[in-house]
Amino acid sequence: MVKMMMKALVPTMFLLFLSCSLFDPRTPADPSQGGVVWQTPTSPDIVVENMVSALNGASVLYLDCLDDSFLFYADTSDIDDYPTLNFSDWTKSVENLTVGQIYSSVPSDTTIQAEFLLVAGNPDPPAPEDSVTIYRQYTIILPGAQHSPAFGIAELHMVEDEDGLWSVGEWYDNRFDQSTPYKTWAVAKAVYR
Amino acid sequence: MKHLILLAIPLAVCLGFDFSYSLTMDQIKETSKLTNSFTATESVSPQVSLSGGGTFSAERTEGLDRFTDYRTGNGMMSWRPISGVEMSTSFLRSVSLEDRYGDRVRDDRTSSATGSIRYAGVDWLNTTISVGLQNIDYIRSSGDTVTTGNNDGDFYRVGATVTKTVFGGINTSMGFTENRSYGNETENFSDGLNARLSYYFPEDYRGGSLNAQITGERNTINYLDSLQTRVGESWGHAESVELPELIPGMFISFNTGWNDTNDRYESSHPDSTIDDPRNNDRYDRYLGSSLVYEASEDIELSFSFDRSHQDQENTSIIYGTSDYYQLNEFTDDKLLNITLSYTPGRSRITFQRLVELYSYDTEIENADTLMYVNDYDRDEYRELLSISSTIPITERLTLLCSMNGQERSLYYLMSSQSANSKRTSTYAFNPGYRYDLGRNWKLSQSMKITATYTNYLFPEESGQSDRLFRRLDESFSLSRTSTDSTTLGISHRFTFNDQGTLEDGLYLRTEETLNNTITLDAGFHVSRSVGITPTYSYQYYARNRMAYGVKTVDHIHHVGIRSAIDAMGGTLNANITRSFYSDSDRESYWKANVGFDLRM
Repeated sequence: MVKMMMKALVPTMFLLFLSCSLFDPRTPADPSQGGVVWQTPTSPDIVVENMVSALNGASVLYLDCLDDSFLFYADTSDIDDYPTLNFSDWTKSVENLTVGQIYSSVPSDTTIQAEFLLVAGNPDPPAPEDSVTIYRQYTIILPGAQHSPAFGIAELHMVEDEDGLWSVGEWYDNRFDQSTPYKTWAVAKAVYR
Repeated sequence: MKHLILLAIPLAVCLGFDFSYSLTMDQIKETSKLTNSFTATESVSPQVSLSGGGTFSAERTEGLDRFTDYRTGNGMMSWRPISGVEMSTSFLRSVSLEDRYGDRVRDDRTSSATGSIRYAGVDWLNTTISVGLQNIDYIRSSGDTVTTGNNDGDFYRVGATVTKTVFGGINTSMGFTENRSYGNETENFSDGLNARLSYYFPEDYRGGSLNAQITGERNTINYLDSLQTRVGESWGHAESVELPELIPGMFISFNTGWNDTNDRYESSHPDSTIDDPRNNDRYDRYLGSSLVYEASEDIELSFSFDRSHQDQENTSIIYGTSDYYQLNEFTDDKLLNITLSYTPGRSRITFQRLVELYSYDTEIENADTLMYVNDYDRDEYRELLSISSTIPITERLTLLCSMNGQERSLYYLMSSQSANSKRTSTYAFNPGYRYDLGRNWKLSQSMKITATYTNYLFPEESGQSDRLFRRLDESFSLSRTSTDSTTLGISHRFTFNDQGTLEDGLYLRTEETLNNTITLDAGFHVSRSVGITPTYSYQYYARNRMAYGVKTVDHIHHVGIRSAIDAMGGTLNANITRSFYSDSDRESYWKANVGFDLRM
């Protein structure tokens, strides 16, 4: 009898899980403003274009540009110069928190302006496969943020998934040069961590 | 250090030390890395042993004009005067250097000497006490500012573990650690405590077990110049139950636990009115269950449900004010995974159904007057249905096939973000085969066709059109590979993908990419211990971004050599490739990897 009941447990649990609303997503509110431009990230440069589009639209689609194993590394000089800011163990979850807070601090009548340019002498590889490193000189104007504009060079280690879609696996942040008065993206974000 | 290594290697060999050495060198375009490490151990007598080691690693990135260099050296002498007691003395030295744009921006040097006594005189107790001195010097440069300093001091470390079996079958273990380091700039304290308990059910209830664990840890750093203290605390517990196999073939287990962590700043000055409200609290809860039912020799049903919940409370200061707000983040991840496997003979057919819902919510405290909003609450839904099979038709021929459909939906709940809500549906078909031709020759071919549709939930409000992404990936290989990876054969890979907007059934392409690579490997053995594989690849890569009117075509020739050489008790592996573009405007580049492992 017990054996029969236990065997019946398997299909019962299966049906229970499928019939309950445990996996029903919530309904979004009607939009009050437009969305951001998004392309299927079939190459590393499209990932950067999506990132710029998401930053400028203060959209968390920015996080879709990052691999689940994403790690962010600050410039050595930033770590030394800002000992009370926490740059360690910077995962996608931390990026979610800090970027969300930066977006929230932008006054409603202004917008973020991000620009990522090719770095002279470091062109993108023409035929990337599996993984690749690309460089971008960035300027990110962050109205309302403590440090704006964020200015530096991003060394982006891109990874490709089995469906051929690219994302940022690691971001090594670099100062443009040691004497620049502008703060990097790492410092701009770390204030909110 | 270089001279030390050069001296240590022959010296160690001469003295008859057990010696191991590892070397790797990588170069990809303008980035090159070198890692060297060695260890040497020697038992002078049953009571006395010596050991030492060192590492040297360096990385140069030409494009960023960056050079980093890290070196360590260590040595230890151990003496066991009586059974269960070990006395040891050790030294450690590390150097970390970094140059940027031609200037030294970091020069950290750390040296320490430690004396330790370990007691494990009875099988249930293990204790270690260490005391030592450390010397830390650093030079840091930022722009025109150069900072020098040192953090010299002393330290001690204490640790103990007690392991006992009580009541005839319950295994228990308790451990604690206390580490103290007193420098003239910072004081670092760390305390830890953990307890474990496990019980395995008696023979009549074989397979059942109970496990429980609690842990606690506290770390503090006192910054003596600012009288500020950074405190990190964590504590948690975990339990798991595995039920006995009451019904043949049915295995059920549960696990649960929670972890709490807190990071904050405190003022260590007794009269200080300075308060730093930065605070980060995190609470994690999780629950998992698994049921595996082996219905027969060929059929297995696996059913698992996991749920994890995280609550994170972060207090941040508003720039330019003494005000602060608290952002609370809540995440809830629910995952149901059902797998049905049918394994008749050497065949395997697997059916998988997966459903996941990840919810992210935020709540702001103390933000009413600060105009602070956070509109990023969202639900992420994922559903996967797949079937895969591996069917050996004959002893030599195996057919492979998989099909899957996946839906990923992203729902932004707040009106300011909801226009970005979208649903992505991916359908993939992946057939292939493997054929064993004998004498280590293998033939394989596979193809994968993928179509991904992206639909916006609010197409009119978002201003975005639905999208389609298509991809065809085909690969073929006919080769013979030896155990040392020497390869003779031919392989081919072809990839085509395009994407564009899809509106009223009309597909308007914005980009297409074609990548076609043919590789010839001409591997041979010079002798039993030396294998060499010359290799040549021709790659055709074309990309057309119709939306921008930009089209590029590249013909790339990759010429390389791989080798595997057994020598001096070690193995030298080298893989060097030079890539040339037909377009003379593009610079050719090196991709090289050399590894050497030696054990004597």
